[in-house]
Amino acid sequence: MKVIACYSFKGGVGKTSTAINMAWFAADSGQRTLLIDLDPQGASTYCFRIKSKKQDWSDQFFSNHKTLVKHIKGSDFDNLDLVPAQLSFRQFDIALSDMKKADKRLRRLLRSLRPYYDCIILDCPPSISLLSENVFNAADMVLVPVIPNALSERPLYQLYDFFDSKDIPVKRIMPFFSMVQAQKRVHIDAMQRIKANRPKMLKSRIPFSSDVEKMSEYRAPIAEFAASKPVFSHYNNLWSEVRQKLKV
Amino acid sequence: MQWILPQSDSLAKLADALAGKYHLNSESSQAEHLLIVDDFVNHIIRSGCLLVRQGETYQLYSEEAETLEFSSKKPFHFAADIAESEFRQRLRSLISVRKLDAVQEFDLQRQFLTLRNTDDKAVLKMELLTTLNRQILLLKPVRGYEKALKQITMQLIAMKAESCEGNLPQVLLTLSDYQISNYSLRPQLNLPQDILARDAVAEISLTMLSVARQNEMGILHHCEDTEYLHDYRVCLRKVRSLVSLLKGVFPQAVFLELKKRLGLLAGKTNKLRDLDVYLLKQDDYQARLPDNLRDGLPAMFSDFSLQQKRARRAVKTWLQSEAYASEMNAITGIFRDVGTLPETELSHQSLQTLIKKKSRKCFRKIGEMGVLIAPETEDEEVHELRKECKKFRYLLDFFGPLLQHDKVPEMAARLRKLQNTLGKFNDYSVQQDALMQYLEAGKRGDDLAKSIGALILILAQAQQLQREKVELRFADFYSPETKALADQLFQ
Repeated sequence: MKVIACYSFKGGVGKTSTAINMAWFAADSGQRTLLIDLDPQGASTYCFRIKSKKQDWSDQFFSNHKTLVKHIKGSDFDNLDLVPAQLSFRQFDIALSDMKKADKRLRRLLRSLRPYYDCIILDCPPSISLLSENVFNAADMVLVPVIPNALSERPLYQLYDFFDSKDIPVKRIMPFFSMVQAQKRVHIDAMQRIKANRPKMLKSRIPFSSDVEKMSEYRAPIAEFAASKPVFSHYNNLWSEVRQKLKV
Repeated sequence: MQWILPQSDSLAKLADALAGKYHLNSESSQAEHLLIVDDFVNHIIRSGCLLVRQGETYQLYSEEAETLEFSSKKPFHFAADIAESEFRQRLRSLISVRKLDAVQEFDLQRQFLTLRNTDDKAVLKMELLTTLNRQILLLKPVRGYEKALKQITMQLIAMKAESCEGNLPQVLLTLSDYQISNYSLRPQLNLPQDILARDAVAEISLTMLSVARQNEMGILHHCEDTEYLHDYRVCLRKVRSLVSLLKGVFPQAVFLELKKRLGLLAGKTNKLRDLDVYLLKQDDYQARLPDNLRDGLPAMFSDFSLQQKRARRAVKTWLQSEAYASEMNAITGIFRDVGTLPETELSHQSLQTLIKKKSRKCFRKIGEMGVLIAPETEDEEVHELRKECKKFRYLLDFFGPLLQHDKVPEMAARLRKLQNTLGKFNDYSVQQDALMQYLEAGKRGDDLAKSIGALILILAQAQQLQREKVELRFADFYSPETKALADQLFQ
């Protein structure tokens, strides 16, 4: 079982669209896939047309494997299940802070799902917190969408520093350029600069596309309404690269 | 979760009943062709399994084990035709060397449907199968949406849809009018207790002849399945043995006529059966010989193959001839009209008394012959013991139920162990003779002579091994327990 976290310290960079589409590609390739929406905003949950439970269960999320299993919902797609987010997930840090080995609770929890899933994808909230630390410790790969501009560049470097400071292997970080506008000078320059600084950026890039924005309108992965558009091929390339790196 | 819908508009009614909370979307549909594959005897279906072919995929369903899949571009007819695999092993355990054919075909239309809630989220996936003028609804629950499943199930119950267990092909087979074969080499005879000896012989013979005749079409049109001929011959042999065992029920002239006619029928297929057996032993012979002595075998088997073709043609011609039809008619006529034959010493005896007497005599004779067998005894005497055991076996097989004793199968099981050893001893002997005859019948190359020579030697050793076991097996059989059992059964 492989765990892929879609994470960025910065918001609005394409984390959720990456998580949704990677989950779709994984499931489509036959992997039994579970997408866990850890972001209290619940954008992934919304895009899969799933409703969150009203009852708050965030305090049991990390402590009771059976409760987590009970909350899993089937998506419209074969091999793809989802744990829906709820607003109470904003309290994860509080719940975690009282626990022993608080930074590795998620890893322990996900291990219990090993018999049922081949691939787990985490859609993470844009923060750097105890929950994020749990995500970094649990993930085999941390996919980081980076918009090629200075505002996105800084959080990426901060993330590397954070991994170093916590002794988490930095090789897990897999950044890729997201929302790229190749005609913009500022994007071209930023991409050159970041690549020079961090040569291990993934080769695949996701261009800025109105189709990605339409995902929330259609409430579906790209493949469902734009399979013939270039953006579908870009996500496909990204999945192929991820798959190759993780030897899935 | 499969439901047979009661009417053609049931699905529309279902959608109406759920309207407001859910709506039904039709996604796509496809035409499918599905074949149920089995042998002549329905070995697969009768053992609770099912072999299904759809396109290039074969699926072997079983009640007790997981479903196995096998892919083959071309349809195959024998387990031996496909690569070694778990699938082949299981198939072989079911059909042995029998030929597979499609026994039932289904053309079906599969429509994929999704039940969605007011958010347009799929809460239940369904497939509607239309075939044989019936509609089957398959429910495929979506995790976390059990409520929708419960609601639709309640609606289906309310509209009197019929829930059906098992895999889909099984459901289809039940819906079709397919008649599962009840063919058996040991048909239930249900002879009345007070039946007279001659009437019983006639009834059993007519039943066995009818079983034999059920194989005729197979011999004519599917001769690669050598079991048709095998079974045909077993039936004839049983009738011959029965007539010989109870010859006293017929006037001498009638017995001689039956013996002659039945002998003629059996004789017409001897050659083909021998060749079938040799060719079935191809792998076994190869395996018995060391690599450097195998070179001559292909020539011999290709020779046998050629002879087999000729023998098949001869058997087919015979079975389609008027001479065959009139021979069969004459034999069945005698059995059918036994009531018109003059009475004999045994013809009107109570069958039960007669069988007990015959069985006692047969058991005693086996004992007398068996105790005389020592290491230096001639092979011929071992063969005689084998023949007597076979007679005893037929008596138990045909008339065992008439003895109305629950220990008859125990006697048969004890006898079977001795028969197995004697049977193998005989087979090895017959094979050696046949190979020797083949070797001497024409000019054979050096490789062939070497291979056959080595094979005869190896078969002789194997026969010797069985020969050494005969005394031990006989002692096991002719034990005080078996004697006591014989007393119980035949007194």
